[in-house]
Parts: sequence; C-alpha cells; structure tokens
Amino acid sequence: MRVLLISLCSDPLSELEFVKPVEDILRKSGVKPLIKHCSKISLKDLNSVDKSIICGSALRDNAFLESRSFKMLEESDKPILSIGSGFHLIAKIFGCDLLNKTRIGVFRVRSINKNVLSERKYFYAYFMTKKAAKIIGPLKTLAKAGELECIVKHEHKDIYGCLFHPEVMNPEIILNFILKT
Amino acid sequence: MKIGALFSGGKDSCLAIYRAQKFHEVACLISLIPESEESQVFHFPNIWVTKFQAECMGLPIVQMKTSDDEKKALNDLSRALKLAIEIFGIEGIVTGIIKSTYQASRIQKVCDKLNLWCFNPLWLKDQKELLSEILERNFKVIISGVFAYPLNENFLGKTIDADIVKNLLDAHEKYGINIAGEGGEIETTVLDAPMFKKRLDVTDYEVQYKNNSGIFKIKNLRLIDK
Repeated sequence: MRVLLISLCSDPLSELEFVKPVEDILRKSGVKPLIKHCSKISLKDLNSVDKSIICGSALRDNAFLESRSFKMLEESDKPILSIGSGFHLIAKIFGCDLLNKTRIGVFRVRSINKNVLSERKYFYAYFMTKKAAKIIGPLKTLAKAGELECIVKHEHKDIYGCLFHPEVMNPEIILNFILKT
Repeated sequence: MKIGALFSGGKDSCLAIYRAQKFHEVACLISLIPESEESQVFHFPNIWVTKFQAECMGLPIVQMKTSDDEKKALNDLSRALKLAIEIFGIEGIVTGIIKSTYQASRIQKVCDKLNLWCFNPLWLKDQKELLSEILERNFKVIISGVFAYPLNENFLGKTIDADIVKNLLDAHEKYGINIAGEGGEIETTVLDAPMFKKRLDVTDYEVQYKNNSGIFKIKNLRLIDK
C-alpha cells in the first residue's frame, strides 16, 4: 500500500515529534510511507498514493494555514486522515470557523456516531491544540471530548479529521484508517 | 532560533540537545535542582554535575532550586524560563521527554503561557532505538541510579554498552521495565558526547544500594581535553 505522510511543520526539528512517530507506527505495520512537506504537495501527489495522512505540528506552528491553497485536499477522492493541527486545515477547507480553544493533556473522548477509526464508545486521548472548530457543511461529527468536536468525517468522502494525536495513545486509529477505509 | 535545553544531565536531555543543534542554536541549558535534600540524594544523585557538563559543552547554564510540590515546581520552571528569555533571548526550548504525557503536557502549558516554542525530538522514540543511537553516536553514559528489580548494584557506574543494552532488554522482556528509564527505573549521567568539547572523568564516587534501589554518587571529577 502506498501512503503519503504530509508534514505541516514549518520547523524541521518538529518533524521528529509529529511526523516520525506516525511513520514508525506505519513501518511497524509493514507500510513504508512517502513523506512530503505540505508546501510541495499537489493533487497529483494525493492521487498517486492509496491514502494520505496529514500530521500535526507544534502548538505555535500555524503558518501552514495561511501559506498556500490546499484546494487539492477538497478535490482528491483518496482517503485522508488529518491529525492535530491538520484537523484545523480540514475544518477550514470545508468551511468551518476555527475557534480559539486550548486543550493540552489527556481527555476522555466519547464516540457519538459509529465509525471505522475507533469502535470504542469511550477512550482517552492526548490533545495538544489551541484551536477547535465549529463543524458545519459536509463534515459530520463522530466523536467529542466534552463539547469539543474531535473526530469528524466528510459525509461523502473518506476524509477524516482527528483533533487529538492518535499516535500518542491511540495508534489503532491510524491502523484502522490504513486497513479499513 | 535561539533555544534553551531543559537539562538533567542524563542521556535523554543530551541526545535531545545533540539533535536540536542540527537545526537551532542551543543558547543555554536550564536545570531545576530539587530543594529537598532527599530528592537530590536519591533521585538526582549527580544533579551538581550539570554545571560541569555545561562547561564541557561550552554553554551557560541557568540553575534554579525547585520545590517537590507540583504547582510550585511549574512556577519554578516558569521563572527559570523567564530568566533564560531575559538573559539569552531564547524563543523556544528543547526537552528529552520520550513518552510521558504527564510531563509533556505540563511543559507545553508553561511554554504556551510564555510564548515559547517547545521541541521534543525524542517524542515516542522506541526505547531500543534510543539506546542504539546513544551507542552509535559514541555518547559515554553511565548508570547512576537503579530503582527497580531486577536492576541491581552491578549496573551502578557501568557505561552503557552493547552488553548493558542486552541486559536491559532482557529485563524489559522478563519484567517489563522501561529500558530507556523514563519510568524512573534508571538514572543516567553523561560523561562524554559528540557536542562535548571536553569530557568528564570520575575521580571519586560512592555506591549506595539497598532494597532494589541504589545510586552511583559522583563525589569528584575532572574535565579532560578531547
């Protein structure tokens, strides 16, 4: 399977923290991902692989939100999982307003709609975010942490957003995305 | 970017500095020294060595006493970071945290309040890979504390080499101990590393061991040109 890992990090030192752990989970499951920085990806890149995962970035690193157009994510028909600050990107692309909400630490997540990423009704997850989103339009909420919408899915496509960092406490979410979408 | 390194003198903070220096200027080290004598003796037996490790790296060090109380300790960290911002103009910090969401989230919150970048280049790194990298990069690391069965006094003062790594891996497989030591099973002290301009030589020490816990207390050392 060909998987593209997309880095949103403006600082390469952060990639060891946000991209490498996801890469390690994939490698341990036998998948050798291709890694590219978000400034260099095109629709062709997305369409040339089976799935893509957009990794998170440091709390202070939101440069990618204004850096370029990510319309290709909307145009692609391939499955995409967007993690941490990648959630902000997906939410913004599909018309949601971003809200200033800081959540740092371990919080309980409650699934509110059945989904392939996690079969559990309740679980704990590691959050590190300064933004959340008011989910509207084609994105539908699958799970919440308190009132925070933290797993979303496009209603017609296999495009997922995960506000917490599944690579820390919930690697099965990444593996389920790879195996079940 | 100028960054400060949270520094305990052990292998993880040293490896984090080594990685960070490839991308940024590490302008200073920041060490918190436990106020309680008991903590210092039993869990940070060689915290005083950080000053000499800093000298080996040619870096200034901000040292600050810290309370055992969690809330006060975070305030102490915040004060130390403010000092590093003021004196050295740091815009971020680097830590050697590997897996502890407890530590990571607390430090992230402090950095967030101070508008500092927070880098954790060892985050979620495989324990075995971490020890292999220490060996490959020629870090000289000794075990300065053991705090879990089956680690005993025979480990104390030993340099981490391929044989010690194998023993630690065996202990991990049989007893589930964290071989990187982040769970507090082992403490380490770095005597030499690629970014050290001088190395440390221990000239006097004392071993204390009782009930599956022990320390290798460095009592004296010297700096040697490389």
